[in-house]
Amino acid sequence: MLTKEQIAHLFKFCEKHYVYYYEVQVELVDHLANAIEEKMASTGNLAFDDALNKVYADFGVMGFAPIVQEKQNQVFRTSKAAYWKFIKEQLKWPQILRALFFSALLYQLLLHYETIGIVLIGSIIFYGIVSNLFYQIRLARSIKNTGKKFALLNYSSHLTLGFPAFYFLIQVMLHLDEVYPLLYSILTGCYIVLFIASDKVTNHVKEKLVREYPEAFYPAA
Amino acid sequence: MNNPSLYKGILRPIVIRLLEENKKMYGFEITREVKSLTAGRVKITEGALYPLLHSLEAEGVLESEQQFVDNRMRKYYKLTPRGKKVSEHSFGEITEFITHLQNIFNLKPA
Repeated sequence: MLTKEQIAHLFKFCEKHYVYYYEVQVELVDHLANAIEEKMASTGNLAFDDALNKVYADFGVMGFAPIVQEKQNQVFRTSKAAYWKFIKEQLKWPQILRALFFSALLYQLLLHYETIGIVLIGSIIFYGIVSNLFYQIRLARSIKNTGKKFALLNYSSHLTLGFPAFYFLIQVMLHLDEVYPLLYSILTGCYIVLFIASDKVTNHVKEKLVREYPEAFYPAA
Repeated sequence: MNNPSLYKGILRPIVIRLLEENKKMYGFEITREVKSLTAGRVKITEGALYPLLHSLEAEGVLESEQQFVDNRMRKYYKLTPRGKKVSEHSFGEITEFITHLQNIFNLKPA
């Protein structure tokens, strides 16, 4: 059986070979450890480092790259499916009421009190951007504290960030000096749906990771 | 293995079948089980196995759980209820595939 220090060395080895995500490292470390133990058992005096080099050679010229690539694809597909699930959930009754209410309110404001309506849109977008930035800061802190980076967290936070660009794009396309109440209120309703779905996805992902990798979040446990 | 390309298309049903028989397995165990069942003639490479496992997990065919074993975490895979249905289907496909090969190459069933 490999020692704790040797296992720690295998995590470092994975990092050195461009495997930065903890989900992938965990699986590779176990595989490497099993293969090293097997090699050392069959060859009496084989040193740990020599066994590791032999085992790594079995991964072929591409090394860990295909595994990392497929993991990224898997995580992307999983995140996309989660987003769709939560977006669809927000479009169902009675959750849809929230977005409809905001859209209707905004429509009326833009018709009768244009400035207040525009300030409200700006505030909603600003809140979305700031929330995302805070999420990124918390994520960076978590990586710094635990030393572990998760692919799933990396892919589950950027959906709403690009959305404000739509407003500007539409403004440019449909003349800068006009406000379109119906279009803007529908877009803001969509933005709210997207934001709530994104929030639910990130919570869902965090809960899943804590459940699956408790040792990464609570090292003493 | 004499010709690895012959096995490329059937790695997926092989993995599904093994998981159906053994309930739950980890990556290294799968590679060794295949080696043992084929007396060392078929070797599943790590570069092919793990991407496949991750892909099957994303499709909802497999689910995973972790256990702390020998100073490290070990990831076990098992079939989901959907995976069990896929397993039945893939077993049928493979049986049909073998029959076709037997017909093409005039092989007698073992």
